Amino acid sequence: MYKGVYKIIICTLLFSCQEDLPIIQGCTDINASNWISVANFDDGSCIYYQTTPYQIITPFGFPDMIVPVNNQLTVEGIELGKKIFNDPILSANNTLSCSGCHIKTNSFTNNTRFSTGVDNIEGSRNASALINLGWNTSFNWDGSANTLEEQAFEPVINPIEMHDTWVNVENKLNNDITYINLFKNAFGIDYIDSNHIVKALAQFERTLISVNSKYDKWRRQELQLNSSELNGFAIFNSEKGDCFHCHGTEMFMDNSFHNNGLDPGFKFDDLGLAYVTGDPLDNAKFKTPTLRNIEYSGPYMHDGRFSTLEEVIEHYNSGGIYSNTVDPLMKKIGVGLQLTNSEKQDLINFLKSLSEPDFINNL
Amino acid sequence: MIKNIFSIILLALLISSCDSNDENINKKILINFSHHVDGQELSSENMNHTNLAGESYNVKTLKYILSDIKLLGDNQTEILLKDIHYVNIDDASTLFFESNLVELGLSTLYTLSFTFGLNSNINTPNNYVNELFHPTMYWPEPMGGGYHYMKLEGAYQNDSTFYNTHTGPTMGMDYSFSFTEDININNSIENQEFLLSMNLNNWYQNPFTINLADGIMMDMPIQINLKENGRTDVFSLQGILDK
Repeated sequence: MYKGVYKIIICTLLFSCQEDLPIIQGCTDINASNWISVANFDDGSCIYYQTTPYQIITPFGFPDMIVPVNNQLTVEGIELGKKIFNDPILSANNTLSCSGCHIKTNSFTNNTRFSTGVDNIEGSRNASALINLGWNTSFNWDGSANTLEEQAFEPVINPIEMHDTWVNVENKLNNDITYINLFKNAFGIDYIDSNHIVKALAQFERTLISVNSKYDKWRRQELQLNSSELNGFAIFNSEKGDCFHCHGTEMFMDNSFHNNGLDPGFKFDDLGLAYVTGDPLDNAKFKTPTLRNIEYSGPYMHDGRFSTLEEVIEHYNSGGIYSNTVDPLMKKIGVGLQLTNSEKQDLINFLKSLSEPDFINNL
Repeated sequence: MIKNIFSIILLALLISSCDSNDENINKKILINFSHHVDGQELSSENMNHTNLAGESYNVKTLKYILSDIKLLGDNQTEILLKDIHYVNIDDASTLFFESNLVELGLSTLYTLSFTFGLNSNINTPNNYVNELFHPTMYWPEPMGGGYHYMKLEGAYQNDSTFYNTHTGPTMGMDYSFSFTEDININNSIENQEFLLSMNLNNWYQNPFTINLADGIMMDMPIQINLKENGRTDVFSLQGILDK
């Protein structure tokens, strides 16, 4: 009796096993760009996305560019990053793109002291110029981001900038067939996520390279600097002008942070690096910006307090203001460099030789 | 009989040749860096330090480069421990280094040597673009080009007067210098650790008394005097027992 029941159960199980799953044909290779997750029969249709590697030629006197191993530059990724950079789709009300504050003709910053976000709220720091970023080891005036990818996460969700959410941005892009195809071509993905959006932005930003100024042409012996520019170069690279200690090398920055004597200690409105490290000895230290294209990227300092290069030079010429974190390189607080008017002008003329018109016009 | 003697000699030779290889010792050498002013811990805020010239000072920045760090053994053997080491007192990761495994002989007597700074053969513009120190230790080409050997900075006399003791290749001159000190290698321990100490006050004394100043990069006499003071007794080396 029991034997018979068992046989019936076993037969039932066997029959249930024999029920055929529907065959779904398609590409079953997860590495292919047209992978279909529900496909169970490979029909040979797999297409593998192919990207074109983009080679950065290391400029004279520069280190090798820092490129994350998981975000190597490709032509497709850079083009995509450029499109996103210029698209207001990243902002909550679709009115503000990255390029809204980082304008090409201003060396990818803008000429206002503070930028205004989508809610008409003004920030408290001057927008940084986006130039030669691939050689920076930290980002933002206070060094709060360690990579360009990390940095790109911030403005989208910052309430005083784009004030969007990443979920919303992802939804917007995933509803746009153009972006779906571009992301598939660049990264081989079907669903656009924030990680790949910032990867594309970072790829584009790494290509914003300016190394073809009048100064560079002089270094390559293609032309001659005039006597004023040459004198400015000499002052820049002497202890008299002492610009080189922070703005040295062909990068014209030191990848470091300094308090350059802008305010007395009791009046620090912005703690700069100390916000990140929590160390009071870092109060009012800010990242050294490159001086390349400095002519285009005013106003100057982390809070854009100086409108002109003349004002900047005058700050150093008068020696700055003491505070307990002021850099010892500000050697003569309250005394300053004591440059003559002619020397100051020479210095400014040299700084302007670091401008690359093609960079802001033809990129 | 002759055959036996020959066999014994051959065997002895073989054994002795094997012995010398087997007795080579592989170990890592660890160097730790410490900095003080006549035994005082470095002070970055108060003017706790006083040099021979009677100037009170503090220390806010200390960065320097050592190169060609090696062990010298008997028979002129040289074992390179590290090509270049950059020290920045604000970066704990630079305050020690560990060599790769090095093969040492039976001898326990070695000399540790390094060059303070970079000699003129290698201290050329943009020679170390990919090193951490490239942007911070840069020495402008109009002043000779290459890299600072040392940046020692702080306030002196009062909070808002700063000194910059920057050494380097003024106008292309070579003011780097060598340090050597005999050391004992303990063959019974796995890794050998040493402490290299810098007494900052000794940069400013013995044999030359040097005043603190704000800019000395183009001052050849001071660069020469700093070199002489540096090679005299700025550095000292001591072994640390294996933990």
